[in-house]
Amino acid sequence: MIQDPYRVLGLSPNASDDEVKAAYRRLAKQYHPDLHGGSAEAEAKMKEINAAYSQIMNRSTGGSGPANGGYGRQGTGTAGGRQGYGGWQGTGTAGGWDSWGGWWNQQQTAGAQESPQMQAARNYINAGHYREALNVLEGIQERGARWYYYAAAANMGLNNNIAALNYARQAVNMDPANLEYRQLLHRLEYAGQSYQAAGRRYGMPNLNSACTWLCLSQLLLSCCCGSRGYYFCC
Amino acid sequence: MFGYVMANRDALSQDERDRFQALYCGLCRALRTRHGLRGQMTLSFDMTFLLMTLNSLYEPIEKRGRERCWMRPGKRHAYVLTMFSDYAADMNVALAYHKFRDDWADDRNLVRRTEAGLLRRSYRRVELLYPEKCAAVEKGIRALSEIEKRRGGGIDAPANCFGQLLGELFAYRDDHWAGTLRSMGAELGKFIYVMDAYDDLEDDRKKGAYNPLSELGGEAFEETVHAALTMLIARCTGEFEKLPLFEDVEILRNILYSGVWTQYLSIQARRKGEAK
Repeated sequence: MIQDPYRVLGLSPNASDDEVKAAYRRLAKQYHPDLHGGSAEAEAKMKEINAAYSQIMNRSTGGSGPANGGYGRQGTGTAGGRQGYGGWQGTGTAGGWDSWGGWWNQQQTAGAQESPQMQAARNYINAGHYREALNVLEGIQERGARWYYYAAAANMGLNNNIAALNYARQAVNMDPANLEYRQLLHRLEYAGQSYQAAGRRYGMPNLNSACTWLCLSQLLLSCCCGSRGYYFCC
Repeated sequence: MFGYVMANRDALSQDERDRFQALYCGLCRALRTRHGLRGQMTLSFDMTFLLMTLNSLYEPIEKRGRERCWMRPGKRHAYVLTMFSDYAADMNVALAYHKFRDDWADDRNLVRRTEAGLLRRSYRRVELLYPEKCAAVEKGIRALSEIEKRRGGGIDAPANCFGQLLGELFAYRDDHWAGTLRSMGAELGKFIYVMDAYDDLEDDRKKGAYNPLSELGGEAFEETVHAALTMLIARCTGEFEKLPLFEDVEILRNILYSGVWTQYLSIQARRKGEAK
């Protein structure tokens, strides 16, 4: 960890992402090892510049992927990243953050009237044994909102994010008032919200608007008549 | 490949359109000069995106030219060539070759065998240049085919598998950017796979073939697919925005934020048409 990555790049801490990128490009050209006959000093400087750049970038877009598991961990209440998703606080039964970035709330004490199988599934998820959790869940016939929540969490642990999203949506659908369910869903859909906000600048089709259907014929024309060339079809 | 990662031409300026076209023509030309007509037949937009991303990141020397070619015989048109046009062309051939071979092994489709046969010599050359990438492609296509044959594993397993494969192609070399490029390519690969499965839904239903999306179920199937596609492409752009890109970055964003939905809309339009 670099104490002040902005200073390495010669910037103030409130520099925008574009300013960070521009500063990086400028410095990378200046200290490129090829220009310095492979001098150890230039190489060390380049390493430092790379590290500072990545540190800043991983912080500012920290919510975009599972690789950045740590986001929000420092915060109970305060925003963990610049984009303001601060993770979530425990709900009384909470055991705190687990080691992977706080999307799953360690649940040590039993929830109200949970069947032994549901408890087993929960324990497996707590322990990170997601495959086993799914096996247990599959054997359960009675599937309420909580079942979907556990299925979403176990799938998320296995990096099966599409299944996780599907289950989390169903859990929220069945019990919209439950904060845990909503937060798990939010964790999955979080990146999509900033994506859609940014997309409007690039003419992202709004799939819910009537205008889209009007514009559609034009879109289709341009993609058929633009020189598409050949594809091999899979 | 699939051709889902295309630009939304209407939202590009004339200069950007010309630039995109020139890079696309450069890739086409690289395929023809390196792999002949049969290589050129595998041209796709997806690989244009790969080459544009790598161009923008590494800023290699560009060679510009104009030519007339049989695919667009009307008038001479501009092309731009870089080292990544060659790389993208070679990776395209590797993907096509293994895909054809796999199809031949699966359903004894003689056309596929012929196509694989025609690409074999090209592929051997590519393999000498990029042994690791070719090994990753071969392994990935084989693993994907096994997952697909097993059926019933849901959409994540095959999508993750194809994502991993595409991630390897994006991680051009082992440097500071490899991790970000690999994650970005992986999410894009998952997006492409889900889009392709969505595209195939009715066809598979008619033929009684298995489609990995069918297991998603739930009442709000359409919304779930849209949410899943949004989640995947958003993760991809999250990684993309970590790269220090300037050159062509507005075209790349046009593709990621808008163009990738072009096919989605046309699939929906087709369904609406069929439903009537």
